[in-house]
Amino acid sequence: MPTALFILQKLLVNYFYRVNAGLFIFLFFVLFGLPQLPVAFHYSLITGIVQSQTFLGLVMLIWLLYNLKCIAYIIQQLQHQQQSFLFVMNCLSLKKIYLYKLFVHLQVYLPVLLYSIAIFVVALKKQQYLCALEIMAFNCTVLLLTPFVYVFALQQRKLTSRLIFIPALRLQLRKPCFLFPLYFLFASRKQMLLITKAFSLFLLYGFIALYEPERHDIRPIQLCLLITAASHCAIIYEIRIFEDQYLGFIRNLPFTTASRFLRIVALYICLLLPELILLLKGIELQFLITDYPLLIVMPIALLCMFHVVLLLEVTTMEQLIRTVFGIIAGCFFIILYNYGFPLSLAILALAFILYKSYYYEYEKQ
Amino acid sequence: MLQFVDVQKFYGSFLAITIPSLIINEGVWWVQGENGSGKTTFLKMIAGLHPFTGSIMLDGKFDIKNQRREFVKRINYAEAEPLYPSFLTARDLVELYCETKGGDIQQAKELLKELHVLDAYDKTIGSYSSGMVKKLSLVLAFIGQPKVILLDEPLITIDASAVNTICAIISDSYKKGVSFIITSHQALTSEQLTFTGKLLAESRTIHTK
Repeated sequence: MPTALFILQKLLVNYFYRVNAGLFIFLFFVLFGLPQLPVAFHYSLITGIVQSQTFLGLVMLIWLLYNLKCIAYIIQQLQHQQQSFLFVMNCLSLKKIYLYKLFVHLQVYLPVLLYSIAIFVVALKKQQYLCALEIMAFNCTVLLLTPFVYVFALQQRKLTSRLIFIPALRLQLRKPCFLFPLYFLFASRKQMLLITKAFSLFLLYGFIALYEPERHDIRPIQLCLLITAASHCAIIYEIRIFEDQYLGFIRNLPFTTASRFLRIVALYICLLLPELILLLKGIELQFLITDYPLLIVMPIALLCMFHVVLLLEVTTMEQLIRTVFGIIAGCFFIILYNYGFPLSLAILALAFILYKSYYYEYEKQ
Repeated sequence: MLQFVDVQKFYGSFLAITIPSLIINEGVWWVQGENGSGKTTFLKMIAGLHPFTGSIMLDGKFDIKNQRREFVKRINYAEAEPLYPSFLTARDLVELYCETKGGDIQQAKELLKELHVLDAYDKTIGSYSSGMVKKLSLVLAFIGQPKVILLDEPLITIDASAVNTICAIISDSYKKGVSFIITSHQALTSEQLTFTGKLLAESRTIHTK
């Protein structure tokens, strides 16, 4: 493999999968872990896609969003100060740069490509030639055109970034320091925030709208909130990286440990605000109004706990995912035994104790 | 002023610094040492940014571990290569530091003006040059009523006139009772800055010369 290609593979592709490991593991779990018969489930799903143009359109929209995510990530990496040496690649011929970028994009786009090949094969088998043609045309267009965006980014940084510019929050308001991570998410992790929030809110909305309990039982909504909290783990990981990289100076500010922890609680209340508001829709239907204050402690406490475990030995996304699954599994059983409320308070208390013990002992590896 | 007792700093199993006993009195101290000798680690330990074993005490009253809040309120630190979130403005940081360290915004703005970065006060740090970020970090280190200011390579990245301005600000602050521990590979003339003494970082320890 040429050295330039090796560097691109290492910097762009490998890092892409490392950063998004949480998302992929989560999707893999949802798509292949949850269904009892994954092959039969996916065959039915694909049959549905090839037989309905609307469904196919929706799937293509998701693929397009994924492609935009890939583009945003690669461009962000190309524009990163640490990667500025990659501009030396402009010395290569245009054809070579294009092929290198195609190689990069093929790899980051691979999950979609593999699934679309499966749909393509089923479409041919079911003689849905129009559908097969559409899938092929869509993927060829995306695969062949996207590398041009990267080539352009490599040559003309600013103009390209404007092409996919998403408006950021640029209000000249006083920024409280506990909200710095939230500003960071709005400024640099828009797609991740959007995807997480869309998933979390759809899940919560779907549960409240579709599930009708036969009697008053707080546990189903608590279990739903567990998944809502778990879906934020990739965001929390990004927040911790951001803190390590840019907020080191805050340790030199004279805050007490308790006030530092309260700032984390406040941050996650703000991050979960859409879910907490949506949850109000479930009053009387899923739970009583008196349950609400205790109910919202659960996701807040869990997010604080996920944040705190990243101050311990947990340093990679893979380790975090494992820890999160462990915590969620433990909580699941405790909730089943109807100890959800004391559990939330216990998690929050434990998070504080761990934070107090490890905050000043933590050091970036 | 600063008293070190059995201070040890490990990176994993690697012992980076060990200071069995050291007292640093008031003054302007120049920390000298080769690259990788532990100068930055030494400053970061005092600033409360790095965990370590042992004890660092300020004025015989404030222990960094037991009275951390009081300790860091009196110890300000400017990094060699400061990094701030690009979406923040100088205003955001100055206001945060003034609020927490108990400083005067107007005074901070005066310093920014002296260093020619006040025009960018409301601009996001993402639009700053590296020299401007460095100047901002130096101004932030002077906010409040610090007893000691730790400056890690304060003279790199900034222009020649700013070097003289910074030296003048350090001298003025010293006259007002602020002590300094400065690492610098750049030699300074006695007209620019007079050092009380030198601290040597060598053989994985720090000692006075």
